[in-house]
Amino acid sequence: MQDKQFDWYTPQKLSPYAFLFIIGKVINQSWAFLLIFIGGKFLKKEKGIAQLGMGYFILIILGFILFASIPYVIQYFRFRVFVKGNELIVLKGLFTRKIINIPINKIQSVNAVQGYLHRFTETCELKIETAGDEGTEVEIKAIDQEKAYALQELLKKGPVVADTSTATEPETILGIRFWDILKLSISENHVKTFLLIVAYLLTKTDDVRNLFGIDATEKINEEANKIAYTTNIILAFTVTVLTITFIVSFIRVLIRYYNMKLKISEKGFETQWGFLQTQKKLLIKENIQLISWKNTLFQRILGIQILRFFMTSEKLTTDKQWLRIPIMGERLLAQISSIYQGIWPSQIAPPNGIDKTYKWRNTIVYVAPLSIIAGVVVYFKSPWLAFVPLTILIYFTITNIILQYNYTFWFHQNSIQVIKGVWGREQTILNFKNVQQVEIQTSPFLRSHNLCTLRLHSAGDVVKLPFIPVAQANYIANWCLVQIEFDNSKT
Amino acid sequence: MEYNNPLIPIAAIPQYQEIPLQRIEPDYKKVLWFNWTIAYLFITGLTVLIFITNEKIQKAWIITLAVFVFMSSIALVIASIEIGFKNRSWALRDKDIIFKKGWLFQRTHIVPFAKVQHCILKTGPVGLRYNLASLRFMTAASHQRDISINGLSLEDAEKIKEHARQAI
Repeated sequence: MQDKQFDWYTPQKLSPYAFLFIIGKVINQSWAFLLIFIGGKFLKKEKGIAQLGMGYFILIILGFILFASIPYVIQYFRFRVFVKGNELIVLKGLFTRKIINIPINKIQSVNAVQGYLHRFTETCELKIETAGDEGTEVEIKAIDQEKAYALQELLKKGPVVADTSTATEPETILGIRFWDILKLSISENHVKTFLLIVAYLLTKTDDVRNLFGIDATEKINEEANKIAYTTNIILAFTVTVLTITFIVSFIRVLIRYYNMKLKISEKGFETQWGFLQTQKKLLIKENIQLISWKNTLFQRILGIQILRFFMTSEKLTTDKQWLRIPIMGERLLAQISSIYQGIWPSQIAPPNGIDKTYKWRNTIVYVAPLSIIAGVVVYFKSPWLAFVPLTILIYFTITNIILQYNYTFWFHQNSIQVIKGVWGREQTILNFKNVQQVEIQTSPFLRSHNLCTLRLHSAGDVVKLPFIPVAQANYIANWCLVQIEFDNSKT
Repeated sequence: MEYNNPLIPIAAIPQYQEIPLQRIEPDYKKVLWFNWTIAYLFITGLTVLIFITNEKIQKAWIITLAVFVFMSSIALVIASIEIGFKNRSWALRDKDIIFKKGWLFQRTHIVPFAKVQHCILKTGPVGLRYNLASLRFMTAASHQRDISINGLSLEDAEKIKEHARQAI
């Protein structure tokens, strides 16, 4: 990847450009204080700060920044990172010495993040994640770009087991073009985008009320009441809302997928993406717990799938850590998934469905009682409004029927594949060796029908097979346990 | 590349469902009764306090409703202790541990020792009185899905822990 070779076995310092980031951090942390101070100088006429000469004033500000930077400067000089044997060692600390030892085989991912300042100074921020913690284990704020890439390569290969004679150069298999961005923007969830815009505007109206004492919502309502609504106005309003929603969706897609590249090698994947800041992420194949790809109805029509790797230690609730890869063709999907699972169970095993009673469960237990109660309450206020809960009941009844019909799974010797969805589709493949524990759940209804729900818990997510025959669940559970317990490689 | 998908006879696979499960210690029921009694005394005290201090809710229908909800929840707890207790059982195999619990909704967990990161033996003041302990198996499963087996005798818990420690 690079011509220069760095000796990562000798302790490495941060880049001298780190001082720029230190100053940036200090200003970022104390901007409110600096604003008050500067405001005091220019807005107050007589006393205190206003009486200071400009030279003293600038000196005080600079002095403050320098003083506040001292702890970070000490940390800069005390920071060292290097590789020793099978471990990455980080030395840091302000007054105490903190030594972090990370076994290289426990490193889940190494991300190189480049903002504008990083690009300008040819540095990057390295984020190293392990299985032991749900967050980022080590953050190296500013390190020379070449050094960072060299470390990324080193950690990917592993210093002890590195066998460069058979290692092949990563091959780029995915590159997102402008046309793909446009397709992705069209297929975005515009309802979600619209709701995000509405939520954003609502918070802004709150800000306006807090700052200026004006009730913006009331003002908007007043102005809206004055408008004589004609078909043209409604049409123009709808087109405007749709255009804004599309533009916002386009920007969201641009930020998420711009310049995305995916390289594949024997060790796993390397990804790069980013519009405002470039990010690089390394996915080591041993750390992939399960893979899943899904699409919405629009995406299905346009032939798009969004692939996601569930990695060890990934925080499921923090979607910033997730890596979503847009896939524009079946062949590419097969190529990418092959590194985790060579043959999909659906290619060789017969399909299995879930019990037909599943479709009535949500409708009877949740939707119908709530719709009936809501319908009765609403009917006494305004009879025609009772159509709303009735429509909701019909909609959910239909979707639950479709959900049960589409819920299919396949399993073979070493993995299980599940497909589900109502309008869109979601597919998951889980290798049995990645299952952490098996759970079988029954309820009185399920027991009376000799059914159960099987859950296979992995370190990434849970694969759930609801309403399947007990004998089948037991077979899968037992086979899964055999795969785990008689496997020599522990995870 | 050669693809293989050989037939595996079911008889060759160890069947978890055929393993006889062992019930937890009968004394654990006393611990459950003690814990729930404390919890309900607290809830009763709090509810009575709310009704005494708030005149607006001192209405016959609200009090009736509250008593009905309260009695129903007590009935559910009693049923879950008495009936659910029979289902609390476990079995130790060479390579995994099986644990079953639940009354209406019954769950069986099978945790392979190969996936256990570490296990914790826990004793509480009430449990210790009856020589009881809990074992918690921590795995890397998402959603913090760790398994706790309560109501084991201290000796059994220590033996299982030792077995697990060697198998991990």
